[in-house]
Amino acid sequence: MAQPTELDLFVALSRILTGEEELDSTLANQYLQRLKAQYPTQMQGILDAFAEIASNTFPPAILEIKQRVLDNRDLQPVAKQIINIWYTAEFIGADGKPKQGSQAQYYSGLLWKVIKAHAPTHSTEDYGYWQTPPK
Amino acid sequence: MSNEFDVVIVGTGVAGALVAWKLAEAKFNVGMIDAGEKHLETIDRDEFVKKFSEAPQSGKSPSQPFVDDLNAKFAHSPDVADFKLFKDKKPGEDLYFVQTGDAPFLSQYQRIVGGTTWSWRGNCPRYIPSDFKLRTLYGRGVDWPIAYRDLESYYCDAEDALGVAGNHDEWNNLFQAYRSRRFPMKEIAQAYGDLQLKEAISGLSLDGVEIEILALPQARNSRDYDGRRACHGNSNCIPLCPIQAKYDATVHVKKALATKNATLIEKAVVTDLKTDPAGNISEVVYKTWDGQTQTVKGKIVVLATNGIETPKLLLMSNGRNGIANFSKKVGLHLMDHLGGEGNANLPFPVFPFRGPQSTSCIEAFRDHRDRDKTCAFRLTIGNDGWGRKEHPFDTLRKLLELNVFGKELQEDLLRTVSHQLRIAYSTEQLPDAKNLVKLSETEKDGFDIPKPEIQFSIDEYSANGFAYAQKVIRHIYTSLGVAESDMEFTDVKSPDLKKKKFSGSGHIMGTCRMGRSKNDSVVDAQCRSHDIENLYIVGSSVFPTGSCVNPTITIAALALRAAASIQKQLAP
Repeated sequence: MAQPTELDLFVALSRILTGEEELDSTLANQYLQRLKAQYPTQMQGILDAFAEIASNTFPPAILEIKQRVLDNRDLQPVAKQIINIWYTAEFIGADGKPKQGSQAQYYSGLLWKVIKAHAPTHSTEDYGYWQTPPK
Repeated sequence: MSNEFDVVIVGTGVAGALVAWKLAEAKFNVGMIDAGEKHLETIDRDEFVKKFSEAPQSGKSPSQPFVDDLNAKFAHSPDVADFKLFKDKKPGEDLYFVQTGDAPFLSQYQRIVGGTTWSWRGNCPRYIPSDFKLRTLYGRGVDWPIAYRDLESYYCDAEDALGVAGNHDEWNNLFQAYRSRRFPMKEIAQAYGDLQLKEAISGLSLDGVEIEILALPQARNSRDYDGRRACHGNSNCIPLCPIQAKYDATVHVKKALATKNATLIEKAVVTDLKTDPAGNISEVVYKTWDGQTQTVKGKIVVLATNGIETPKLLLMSNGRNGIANFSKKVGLHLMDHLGGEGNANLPFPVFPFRGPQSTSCIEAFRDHRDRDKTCAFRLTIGNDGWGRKEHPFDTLRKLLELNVFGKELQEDLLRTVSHQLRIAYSTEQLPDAKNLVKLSETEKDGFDIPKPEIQFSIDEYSANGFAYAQKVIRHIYTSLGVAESDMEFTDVKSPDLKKKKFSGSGHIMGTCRMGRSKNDSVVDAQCRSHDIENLYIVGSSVFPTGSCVNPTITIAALALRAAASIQKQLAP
C-alpha cells in the first residue's frame, strides 16, 4: 500500500476527531495549510503521532485516539483546533486571536450540519421549512 | 445639480426614506442627504454578506458588515465597542459615544443610506391605545398629543409600505388596538419550536393573565411582495438579510429616486442648519467625505437622523448655540427598550437556527394593573438558541474542554443546542430629563464635530419590570418541568440599580419629543418644530414615551402622517 500523504493522514485523523465520515478533500487541504501556517511544529507532531498509531491498526480505535492524542498534553490543543476548524471554519491562532475562514468555509462548517441547521445567510431551503422538525 | 429643493431630508433611514418617497411621488422636488454611502445594488448586499461570513464569530455584531475604514472615520456607526462608560475607556481606544452617566447606553445604529433598517430584526408590533396615555392612566411619564386613533390609518399604510406579515385575527383589538385593515401578508410561519412551546403552555396564566404565544408581526415577506422574495429562513435577520426578504429603507430610497423628483447626496455629513432673520432654516450645510463644504436649501427641512444624531445636529447649529430649542428639551428624555433574557434547557427539542431569528411573542403584559409602579413589557421567543448568553460555537468550545470528540461530540452538540431556548423581555423606560444626549466639550470625530455625550441611568420602574418579566419567564419554564439549575436569567439581583444588568435594543427614543406646548416639547403633533415653521423632525426622537415594543412601524406611521402635513404646508 502506498505511503499515506500528509493530506491523507490529516483527513483520516479529522474523520475520527470530528465524527464525520465524509470530509471534502479540497476543504481538508485548505484547513491543513491554514493550521500548518499557525502551528507548524504541533501539526507535524500530531500527524506523526497519528501516522504511528495508524500504522499499527487502521482505522485506529477511538479509545486509542483518546488516550494517545486527546489526553496527550502536547497534542491536545492542536487536536481541538482541528475540530474547531472543521466545525466552525475558525480556530484560535498562535497569537491567541481567532482566525476565520472564507465565506465558503464558513458555510461548510460541520456544526451547522450537526445541529440540523445551516450557517446564517446560507439557507438552501424554501419558505416555511422551519415549521417542521428537521429530518 | 441645483442646490434648491422643495424639501431637504437629512437622513435616509425608514423615516426619511418614507417622507422622501411620499413627497417625490407627489411631484415635489426632494433632496435626500445621508452621512453614509449608498449601497443600493444586489452586488453591494452580496459584499456585505461576504464580509459578515468572513468575520470571526466574536466580531459579528449589528454594524460589522457595513463598517469600513472610511465610514468609520467620517460617519461612524456605533456598535458594541462603544457600549462603555468613558471612565472605562482603555488608552488609545476611540469611542464615539462619550458616556458619562451611571449606566452605559447600549444601542447601536448604522449611518448608511437606508439607515439601521439594514440590521434591524424586522419586528412590527403597533403601540396600543394606553401607550399614548401613560400619564392619564397611570400617573407616569407624559401623554402623547395624539391618540392611537389619530395614527391607525397610517399604521395600515405603513404596514402596506414596508410589507408586514401578520395575523389580523390575533392582533385586532389586542388591548383595544383595533385594526381597520388586514396585514398585507399572512403571518410568517411560526418556528417548529415555538409551536411546541405554544402547545405545551396552552392555558397557562399568571396573576390572572393568560400567557398566550402569538405570531410576531414583522416586515418580512411571507410571500413574494413588492418585487422582493419570500423569506427563505436564512436565520440572519440581524445583522443582514441576504435576499432582502426583510424590509430595509433602501426600498423607499429607490422608489423616491425612481420618480425622478428626488436627488440623493451621499457621504455628506450635515454640520449646520442656518436660519434667516425670520427664524426659518435657510441653508443646510454639509461636509463631504472628501473634505468639501456644500450647502443646499429647502422650503421645508426634515431631520431624520435618529435619536442621537438629530438632537446633536440641532444643538450644534447656529454656532453651537443650538436651534429649535426654546423648550430646552432637545437631547433630553433619552429612552431605549431595556431588555434581558431567560435561557433554559428544555425537556423537548426546539431545533433553533432554522428560520427567522424570532417568529413568536407574548404580548400579555403590554398593559397591566400595576403599570403605575412596574413598566409594561413584551416577550420574544428566540429562535437562536441561547442568544447572547452562549452561541453554539461556545457550546462546542465547552464540550471540547471536556475532551469530547468524534461521534460523541456530534451527539452531545445536537442534544444540547436543540434543547436551548431563550425568551427575551423588552421593557418600557420612563422619560427622564437626566437621561440625555448633548455635545461633548472635549471629544471630536473625524470631521472635528463634537461627539455625542450621553448620560444614562435606569430607575425602579424599569427594575420592577425586569423582575416581573423574569417571574413570567420562570413561570413558563417551571410549568414545562425545567429545573431551576437548567434556567439562567440576566443578572438583576443586586438592589443597586447601577449593578443591574440589561441590554439595549437599538431603539433610540425621546430626544426631540412631541407635545402640545412649546415650553416642554420640541415638535407638535404633526412633527413640526414649535419654534421653526419650516422644520420637521421624524423618527423615534419625537416619541414622548416609548412603550415596550419595537418602534419602527410607529416611526413609519408617524413619518407618513408628517409627510401628509408637509404636503399640505407646501401646497395648501
